[in-house]
Amino acid sequence: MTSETGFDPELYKRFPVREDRPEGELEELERLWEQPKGWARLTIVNNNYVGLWYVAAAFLFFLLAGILALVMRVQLALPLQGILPQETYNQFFTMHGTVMMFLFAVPMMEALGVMLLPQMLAARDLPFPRLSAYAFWAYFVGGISFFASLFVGLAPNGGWFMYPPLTGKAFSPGINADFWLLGIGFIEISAIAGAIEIIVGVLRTRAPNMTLDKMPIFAWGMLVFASMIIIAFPAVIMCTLFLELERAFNWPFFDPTRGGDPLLWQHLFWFFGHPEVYIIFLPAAALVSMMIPALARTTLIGHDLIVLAFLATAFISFGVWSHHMFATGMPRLSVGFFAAASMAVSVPAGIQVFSWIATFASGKPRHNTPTLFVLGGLVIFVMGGLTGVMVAMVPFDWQVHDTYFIVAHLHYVLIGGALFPVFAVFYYWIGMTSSRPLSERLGKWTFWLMFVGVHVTFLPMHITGFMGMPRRVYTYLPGGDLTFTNFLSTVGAFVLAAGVLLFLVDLARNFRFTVNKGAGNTYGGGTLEWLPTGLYSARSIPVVKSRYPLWDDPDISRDVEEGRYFLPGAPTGNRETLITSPVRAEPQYVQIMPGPSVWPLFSAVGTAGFFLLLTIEAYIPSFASGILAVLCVLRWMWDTDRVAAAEEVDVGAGIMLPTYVTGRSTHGWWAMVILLIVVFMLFLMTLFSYLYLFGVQPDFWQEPPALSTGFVALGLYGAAAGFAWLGRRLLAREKSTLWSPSTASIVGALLLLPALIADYWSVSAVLDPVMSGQGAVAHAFLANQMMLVLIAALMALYLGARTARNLVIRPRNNTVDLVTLFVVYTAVQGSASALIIRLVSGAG
Amino acid sequence: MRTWVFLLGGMVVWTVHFFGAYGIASIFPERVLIAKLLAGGLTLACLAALAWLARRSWAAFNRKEDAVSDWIALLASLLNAVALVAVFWQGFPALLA
Repeated sequence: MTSETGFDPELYKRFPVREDRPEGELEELERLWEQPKGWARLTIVNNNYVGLWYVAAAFLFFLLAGILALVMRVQLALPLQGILPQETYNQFFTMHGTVMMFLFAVPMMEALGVMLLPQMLAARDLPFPRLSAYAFWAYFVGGISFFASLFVGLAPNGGWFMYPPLTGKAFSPGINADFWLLGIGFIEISAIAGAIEIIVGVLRTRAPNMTLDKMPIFAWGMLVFASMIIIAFPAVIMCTLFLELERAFNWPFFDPTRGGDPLLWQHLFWFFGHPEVYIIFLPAAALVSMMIPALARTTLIGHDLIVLAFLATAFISFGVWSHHMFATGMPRLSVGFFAAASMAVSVPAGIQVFSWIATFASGKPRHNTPTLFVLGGLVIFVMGGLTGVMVAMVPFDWQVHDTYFIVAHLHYVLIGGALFPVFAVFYYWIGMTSSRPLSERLGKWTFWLMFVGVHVTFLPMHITGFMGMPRRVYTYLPGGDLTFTNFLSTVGAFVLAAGVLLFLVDLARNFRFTVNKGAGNTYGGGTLEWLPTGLYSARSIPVVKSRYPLWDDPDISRDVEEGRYFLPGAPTGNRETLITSPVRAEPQYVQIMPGPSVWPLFSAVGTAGFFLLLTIEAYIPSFASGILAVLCVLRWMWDTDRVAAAEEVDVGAGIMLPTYVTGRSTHGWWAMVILLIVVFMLFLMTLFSYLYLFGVQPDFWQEPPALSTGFVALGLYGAAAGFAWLGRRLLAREKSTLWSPSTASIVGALLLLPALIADYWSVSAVLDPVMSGQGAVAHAFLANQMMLVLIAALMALYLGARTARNLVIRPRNNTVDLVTLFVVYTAVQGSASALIIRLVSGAG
Repeated sequence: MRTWVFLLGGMVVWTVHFFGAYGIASIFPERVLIAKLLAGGLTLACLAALAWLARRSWAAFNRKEDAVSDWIALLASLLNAVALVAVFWQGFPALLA
C-alpha cells in the first residue's frame, strides 16, 4: 500500500488494541477538557459550545430578518399603505437582504461546520479553537451592533448590493452606507477566519486512514465552501474598501467623470456575490447528502459524483458573476460567455439532485420530519433552479431584470437550497446537542406550514414580476392587477412565519443543551459524529475503514469509548489532537491545543469597536479599540508555539509521534499559506480594477512614474526578503548567537517600511488619488501594501519579544518560519505592485 | 500538492479558458472577428490540453495502484471529462456571436 508520509499503514492493524487502559486516564482527559463555569463560560473555546452559540446567533439573525420581511409584506399587502415610510422601507429591504445573506446564511453554514466537523472527523476539536471563538464573537458583537443601526434610523438603505453612484456621497450623504461598508467588511473578516479554520481542520485533523475517498461528504462540502470563501470574499472586502475610500477621501474609483466607473463595483461585488449563492448552497447540499443515507436507510448513490459536482461548482460558479449585469450593455461576446457558464453551472446541481432522488428511490425512507424537509427543499430548489436557467438566457433576463420575478427566483433557490436543509439539520442532529429530541408531530406541522407558506408567498411573485412590478418599491398604485398577487404573497409570508413560530415553540419545549448526554442517533446515521462523546469529543480516535463506519463495524462505538484506538488519553498532559496528512490521513504529529481564553473575546470586541466607531467618525476611540484588538491577538498568540516536555509520545498501540514539528507539514504553515492566498486575492482584485479602468477609461489614463523610479523600492524589497530568509537559515546554525537569527528576521521585516515609503514617494509625485481612477487604484495598491508592512512590523516586534523571553526554539521554530513566509510574500507583492503601477502605460 | 494539481487540472484549464475568453472579449469589444478567432483558438488549445490530461488520468486509473489512488484518478478523469464538455460549450458563443 502506498504511503504519503512514510507512515506504515500496516500499523493500523494493531487497532483496536485489546489491553485495558490504565485507571484514571479517562478522568484526566475529562479534567483537561473541563469547561469554566459561570461568567467564565464566555472564555470557552470548545467547538461544542462555540458551535452551538454560533448556530443560535445565526438563527437569531434569521428571525430578525424574517420579522423585517413580514413588516414589508404588510406594507405591500395593499396599494398605498402607510405602515412603512419610503425611507424606512429602504432600510428594511436593505437590512433584510444583508442580514439574511451576511449574518444568517453564510455564518449558519460555518457554525454547523464548527459544531459538526470535529465530531465527524473524530478530532478532539478544530485546529485553532481560539480562532473559532474569535470568529464567533467578532460576528456576534459586530452583527448585533450592525442590526441596532436600524433602531436609530441609521441603517443602510441602498439595497444589499449597494450599487454606486446611489451609495456614493452625492446621493447617500449620511452614514447609513458607511455602516454597511464597514460592518460588512469586518463580518467578512470573521467569515475568512472561520474558513481558514475549516480548511485546515478538514485537511489536517481527520481520523487516521480517513482517506479522501472515505471522507464524509459534509467535510468535502465544507472544504469547497471554505475554499470558495477564501477566493470570493476578498472581492467584496476590496470593493467595500474602495467605496469607503471614495466616500471618506474622495478617491474616484466609481466616478466616471474622473476616470472611475460605477460598473467596477458591480464586477467586484458579483465576483463575490454569485459564488456566494453556491457558498451557501454547497454546505447545505453536503448536509442533505449526509442525512439522506440515514433517512433512506441505504448508502448514498453517486457519492463520487456529488464530490465531483462540488468541485466543478466551485470553479464554474466563478464564471457567472456578470449574469447579474446583462442589462448594463456589456460586449455581446462577453454576454455569450457568461450566459454559457450560467447554464453550465446548473449541471453539477442537477447531478446532486438526481443522486438524492436515486438514493431515496432505492432506499426505504420513513415519513419523518427531516425527510419532509429534505424532500420539500428539493422540490423548492428545483423550481428555483429552473427559473435560474430561464434568467441565464439573456433576452429573458432583460425582460425580468430587477422585477419581482427575480425576487421569487432567488428566494426559491435559497429557501429550497439552504433554509429547508437547515431545518432538516435541526431535527436530524438535535440528538447530538439536546437531551431530548424535537417533537415529530410539531415538526410535521412546522414543515407543512413552511412548505405551503413558501409557495403561497413566492409563486405569485413570478406573476407580479411578469406584470412589471419592480423590486424595492415601497408601494404601488391601486386599480391594477398587482393587488391580488401581492396580497396573496403577504398571506403566504404569515403562513411561513407561523411554521417558524411553531418550531420555536417546539424548541422551547424540548431543546435541553447537553454535551455528553444527547438524545442520540435518532435516525440511525452511520458516520463518526454519532460515536459516544464528551467535551473531549470521542474518547479515542478510530481508524476509519469505510464511509459509514458505524454501519460497517458494530463494535466501533464500544471500542472507541473504551479507548482502544488512537490517543485514548492525554500523553502530553495537555489538550491535544492528532494531525494527519491531507490525502491519506496518516498520523503525523500530536498538536497541543490551547484551552479557554478571554483574549479571543476581547480581541473580537476590539475589532468590532474599531470598525463601528470608525463608522460614526469617533477616530480616537476607534484606533484605541483597534490597538486593543491587536494587543489581545498578540497575547493569545503568546501561549502558542511551545514545546512539550516529551519530544515523542505514545499515541496508542506503541506508535510514537512527535509533539513539536516545524515547516511545511505543520497546521500553522498551512493556515499562513491560506491567509496569504486571501491577501493575494485582495491584490488580484486591485490589479483587476487597475486594468479594468485602464480599459474603460483610456482618456483619463496618464503617463505613470518612470520604471527607474521604482528601483530603490525594488532593491529594498529584495533586501527585506533576503534578510528574512537569512534569519531562518541562521536559526539552524549552531554557531550563530541567540539573537542573530531573530535580528536578521526583524531587519527583514523592518526594511519593508523604507521600501514602501520609496515607492509611495515616487508614485505620489506623479499620480494624485483624488484626480483620477488610475491614481486612486495606484494608491489602493500602496494602501494594501501598507497594511502588510504594518503587520510585518508587528510580527517583528512579537518575534523580538519571544526571543527576549527565550521562546524561539532551535534549530527550527514555527514563529520564525511564519514571519519569514509573511515577509517574503510582502516583499514579492510590493515589488509586483511597484512594477504594475509603472508598466501599465496608456498615455497618448 | 501534486495530488491536488492532478485532481483539479481539468477545472484549472476550464478556468484559464473562461478568463482568457472573457479577457479577449473585453480587450476587443469592437473587433468581433478578431475576438472570435482568438477565443476559438484558445478553445482548441484548451480542448487539446484537456484531452491530454484526460488520457493521463485515465491511464493512472487503469494502473490500479490502490483504492485511494484509483479513486483520485477516477475523479480526475471525470473532472477532465466535465471540463472538456464545459470548455466546448463555453467556446460556442465565439462561433455563434
